[in-house]
Amino acid sequence: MRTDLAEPGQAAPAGPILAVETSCDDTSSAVVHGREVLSSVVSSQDELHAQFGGVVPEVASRRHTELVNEVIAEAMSRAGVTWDDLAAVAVTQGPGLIGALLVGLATAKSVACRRRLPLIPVNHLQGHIAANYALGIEAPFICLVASGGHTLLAVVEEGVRYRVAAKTLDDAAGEAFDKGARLLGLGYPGGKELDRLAARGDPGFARFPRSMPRGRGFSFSGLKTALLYDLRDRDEAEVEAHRADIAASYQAAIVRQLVEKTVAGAQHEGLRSVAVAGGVAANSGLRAALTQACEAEGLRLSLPPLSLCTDNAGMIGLAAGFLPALPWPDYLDLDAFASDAEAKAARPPRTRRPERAPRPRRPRGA
Amino acid sequence: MIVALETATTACSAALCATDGSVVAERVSLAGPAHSRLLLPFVREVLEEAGRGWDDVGTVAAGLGPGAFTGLRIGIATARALAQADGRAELAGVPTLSALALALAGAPEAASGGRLVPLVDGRRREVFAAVFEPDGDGVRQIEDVAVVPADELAGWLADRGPVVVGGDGAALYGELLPPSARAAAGVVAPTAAMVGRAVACGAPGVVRGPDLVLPLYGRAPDAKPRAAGPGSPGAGGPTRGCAP
Ligand SMILES: [Zn+2]
Repeated sequence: MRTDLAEPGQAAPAGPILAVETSCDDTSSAVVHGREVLSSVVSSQDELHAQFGGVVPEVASRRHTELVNEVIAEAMSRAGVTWDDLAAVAVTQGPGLIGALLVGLATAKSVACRRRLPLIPVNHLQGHIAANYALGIEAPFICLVASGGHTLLAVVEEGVRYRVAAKTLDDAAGEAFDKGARLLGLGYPGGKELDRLAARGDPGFARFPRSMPRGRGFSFSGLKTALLYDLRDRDEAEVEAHRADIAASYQAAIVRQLVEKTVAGAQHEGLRSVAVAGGVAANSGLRAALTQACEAEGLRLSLPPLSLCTDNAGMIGLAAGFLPALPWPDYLDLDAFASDAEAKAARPPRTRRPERAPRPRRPRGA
Repeated sequence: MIVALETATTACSAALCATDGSVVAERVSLAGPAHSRLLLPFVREVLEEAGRGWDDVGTVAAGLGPGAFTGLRIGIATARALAQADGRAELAGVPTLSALALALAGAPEAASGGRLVPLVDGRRREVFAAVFEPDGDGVRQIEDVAVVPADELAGWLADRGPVVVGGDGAALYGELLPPSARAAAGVVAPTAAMVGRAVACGAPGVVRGPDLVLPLYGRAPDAKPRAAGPGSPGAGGPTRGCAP
């Protein structure tokens, strides 16, 4: 038990939380106790979507429906907990693919309802950030959140409460990796393939613009265009011979921007602690460069293991420990939201975080 | 008792039924798709209205469709998870068209005979249809589920002789029905009460257990697999990773 690590006034449910995450193409469930992930099961749909060359929302939703109950059972079994041991259920409410989210939400609400457990709705981004708490980080810190859908610098003030210090002006970093992979003719998932190829290439081979957008925002669409022109200017044989070198150069350019902006952001905010979150945090080039830069600048770096960077329910359970729990039956009518803009419309204003611990569980049945 | 759910169409409903299929309490919304917000409150309400608890529930049942994909999944995911967390209650499902057919068999319009053809709106100006006939107290299915374009519905129905039709598809395309089809006025949206009764009576296609209680989509996803291998253009959906 590590509830002693919970911050003052942030009473986490006293006991293990069952977490469910189905916001995109991975079906995941975890059992989390305080800052300890007791189990985390991810059933990846990569192979399924590879044949379509991208995530097909309807295909993902169908697969979640088939898998989610088994994944929950597996997470509980690996953690060695029964329904009676659980203190709450946590679930990703959004943002994400709406049809996919609704499968996880209906499932989580239903198991919570049947067991009369409180439900903790979690914002997917807060989940990514919270993954760092498994590593013992303490707020405040600055967190680079980079995935296929997001690229931003979050100043995490307390728990999972954050302020956006900078964000991308166009594409997300993960999108830049995936689009680059497509231009380079790599398979799916593109970002992972590009990373693998770049590992054996020369990052100094091709020259991509060093210039960065003014201010503190990120921008990747120019890099993508530069790659397009670079490939167009070379003949086929040259591209064939230097595919790894071009990939390495392109990846280095994305990474350079992410690292420089993150370090500058930390310095600007006067923070000594840096964290990363999101699928792009699994990129080996980024991990190496950020480690080096933080060492050079004397910044403490929290680099979650790959399993906590890509979408997983462990991070949702970790975030839940900082968020208000809705007692039964207050959550029965909860809806999912596809975007943060929709979040406000999804439900009347959220209940504030209770000052005290969530109310004790009621007797079961009924 | 049976907790039954039906969410294959814009109607959303939950019912508590006795083991003989009779309805003890029921909630139905015809207001349009809001299944995520309505369904579990309905479940709570039917149990409370009947003064019953989960200890009294032996079966959780869902209509399996075909119908609108997202609503269908909400109902089935809800039933699966309720049964999973209950641990004791059996999970059951029945094709929505089968539940509708059983309701049609009891409609006054069916008294003069004819086959029973439930019609569920499949969107895109198509309906999901299947053909049944009365069989004692129940129904027997004589044709599998078909996806019939609305413009061909009249001819398709006329080919099947005198029929009694019902379901939201029959209401939506009422003007297109041939003279050989009589619409059952009382059988419009498929409801949870129909599902509960169909499961209790062992209507055609009733299945039990988590391996089988899954949506009947009636239609493949739109996306087509692309030619595999590097270099193929990105024809797929959004990039991998969490959506914005
Ligand atoms: Zn994500």
